[in-house]
Amino acid sequence: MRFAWLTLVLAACGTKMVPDDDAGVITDRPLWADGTMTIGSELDGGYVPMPAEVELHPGAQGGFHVPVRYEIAGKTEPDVIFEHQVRRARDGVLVSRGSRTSDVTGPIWDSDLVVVFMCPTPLGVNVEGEEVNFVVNVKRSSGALLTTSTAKTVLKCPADNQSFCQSICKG
Amino acid sequence: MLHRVALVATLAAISLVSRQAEACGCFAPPDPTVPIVQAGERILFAVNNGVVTAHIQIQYAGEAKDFGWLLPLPSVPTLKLGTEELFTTLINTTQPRYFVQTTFKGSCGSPFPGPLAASAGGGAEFDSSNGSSPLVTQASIGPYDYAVLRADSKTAMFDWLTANHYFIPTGTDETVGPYIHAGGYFLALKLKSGQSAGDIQPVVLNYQSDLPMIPIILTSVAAQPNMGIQVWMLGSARAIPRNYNHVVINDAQIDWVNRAQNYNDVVIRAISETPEKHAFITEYAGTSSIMIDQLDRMGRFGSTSTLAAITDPASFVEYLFQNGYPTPSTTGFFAPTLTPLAKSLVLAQLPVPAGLKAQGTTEDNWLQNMRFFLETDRVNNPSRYVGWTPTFDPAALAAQLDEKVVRPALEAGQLFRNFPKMTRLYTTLSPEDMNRDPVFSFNPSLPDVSRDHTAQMVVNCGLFTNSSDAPATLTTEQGFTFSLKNSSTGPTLPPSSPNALRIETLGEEGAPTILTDNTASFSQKTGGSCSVGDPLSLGLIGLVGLLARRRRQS
Repeated sequence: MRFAWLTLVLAACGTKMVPDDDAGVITDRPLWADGTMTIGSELDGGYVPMPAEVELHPGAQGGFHVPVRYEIAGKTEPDVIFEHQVRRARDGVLVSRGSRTSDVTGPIWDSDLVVVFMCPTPLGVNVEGEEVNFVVNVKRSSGALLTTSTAKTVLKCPADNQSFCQSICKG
Repeated sequence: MLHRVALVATLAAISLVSRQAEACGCFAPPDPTVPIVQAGERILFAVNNGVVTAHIQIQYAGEAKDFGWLLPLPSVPTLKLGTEELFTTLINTTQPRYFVQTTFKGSCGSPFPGPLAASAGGGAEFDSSNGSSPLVTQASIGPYDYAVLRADSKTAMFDWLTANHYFIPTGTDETVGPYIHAGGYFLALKLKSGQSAGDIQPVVLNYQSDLPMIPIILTSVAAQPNMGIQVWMLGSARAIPRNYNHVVINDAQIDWVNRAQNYNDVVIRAISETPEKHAFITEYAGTSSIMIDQLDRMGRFGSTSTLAAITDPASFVEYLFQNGYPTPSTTGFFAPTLTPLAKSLVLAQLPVPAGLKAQGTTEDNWLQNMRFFLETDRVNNPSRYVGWTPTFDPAALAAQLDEKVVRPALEAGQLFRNFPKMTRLYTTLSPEDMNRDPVFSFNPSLPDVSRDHTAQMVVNCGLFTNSSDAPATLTTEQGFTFSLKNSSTGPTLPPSSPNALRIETLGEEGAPTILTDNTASFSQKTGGSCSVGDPLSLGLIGLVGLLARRRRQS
């Protein structure tokens, strides 16, 4: 009996398991099907799929950032946590992270604008002209993973403030 | 052989010298040709869910009518009153401390020599709008009138500020450029009519952003050389300067035996050794729980409704003293004093009678002994109270105290329960180097940093030598060992010795990337230059040892 209990504990430690609040079973898989959420950008105040190249937007405090929106199809869920990370594609260097909490209301839900902080970049890390990967983990407040979504794009400084933008986006 | 251990606490003094004005952003004097000197900034940032909360200390010593303050922001902020007590408590709680743990070997003439016996000393010591108007909203809070302006157009914004008596200092035209953008905002602040500069209190801003930033470029128009910038960051991990270098100071440069009084000088020199003179020092990184209950302990401030119902002035003031309104540092041995803001609010309704003032009674003395003055002294010396007919409105005064003292303290205290980690970062910057706005983020991989630093000193006492005159060996926390001629004088380092032990960059994750590590070169440099111990004392120690051995043998 003691051996069986020990085996159970070891099994639990060896696998990353997440409680599924709906079904009450333990699973390590995302609860939503792949493709439920997409990471996009913003155009005319609305969602657009992430373009291959994104122009960095000037921030009010002198920085340059990436306008991001999320789109989720067919889900209604309160207090959903969106944890984002952005890494430079060629070496995986982390250049931005953050999180937002929103209520998701189907059938097609578009998030508010998420201004992903980009420049000034961490010292020594250039992002201008670089491809970056977005990864967004979507979770319940319980920690249960709902879905993971990724997107990639190349970041460009705007032409009208290019030299200043490049100076603070080069690390 | 006599061993004595004395633990001597020394506090690093960060002297942010007397200041004309101090805040984040930009002070605006009425005469554009008169430079306002901004001497330092102290800001507490907390970041959660894309919202930055910033508690900003504003220090200003000019005329109230001359006070103006501008701050660029990425979104329309919410504005609340903060509390000065937050900063005094933060400074005291996270101030770097340098200890010398001293071991005496031999028989010293004086058990506690002067310089080493010094106790812990003073610490730190950091509308609507139409198509053409940039005005988004304007209102009043506490002592301030404020306006939030769109930052789309510099001309429109400056025109509005000028028309509404917010003045623009010389040089702002050039430095404000990076902050002028569609979608950006400026917060403009001034004192309400009738308020004095003494009414200024910290402000709390909430605005949307993933990361906090200090608009230091804008500050440069009114800053003084080597301006201290002290930042506390609350979050789930240790905070880092994202676009500034990080420096570990060379602790051999610290004047350990004189209470680390040169701490700020070492910091200034260490910063000057970094590329572009852009670097921060981590003075503390660890749990934020050290601040829990400091501002919002259970039951503090009692009940505002109870206070509002106390119609007897002496009882009203006594209630304040009994319910946590005094400055925490005064509640021990000494007679407690109310916090400056609470005191000014109470004295506005219950001023010191002119007759008492003439007798030399201080404001604190008046408040501490109001019952005696009003019930005993007034009977015995009625002439002192002639003309003293205050308009005491306990409900109004209680409401003022609640708005300006109680709520800001309780809300600030709650921050430390919401965020598990706190980091204290410090740098100094001169105006010519204020060309990059520092941004702060987090790195969960980095270890904590203690605010306490300890060096070991071994004092080799001779038979007839005072401990302060005896030769000693000092080993700093970083492991540098020096032979000292005496225990009251620190080592003399070669002039070219580095003040920065390591200069590094801190990423969003992972270990620091070291740009410069002076450890090895500094060790070599000091190897032949340390002070030499007193040979006579060493000889006496040897002689006594020899005699003792012969006695044991016999």
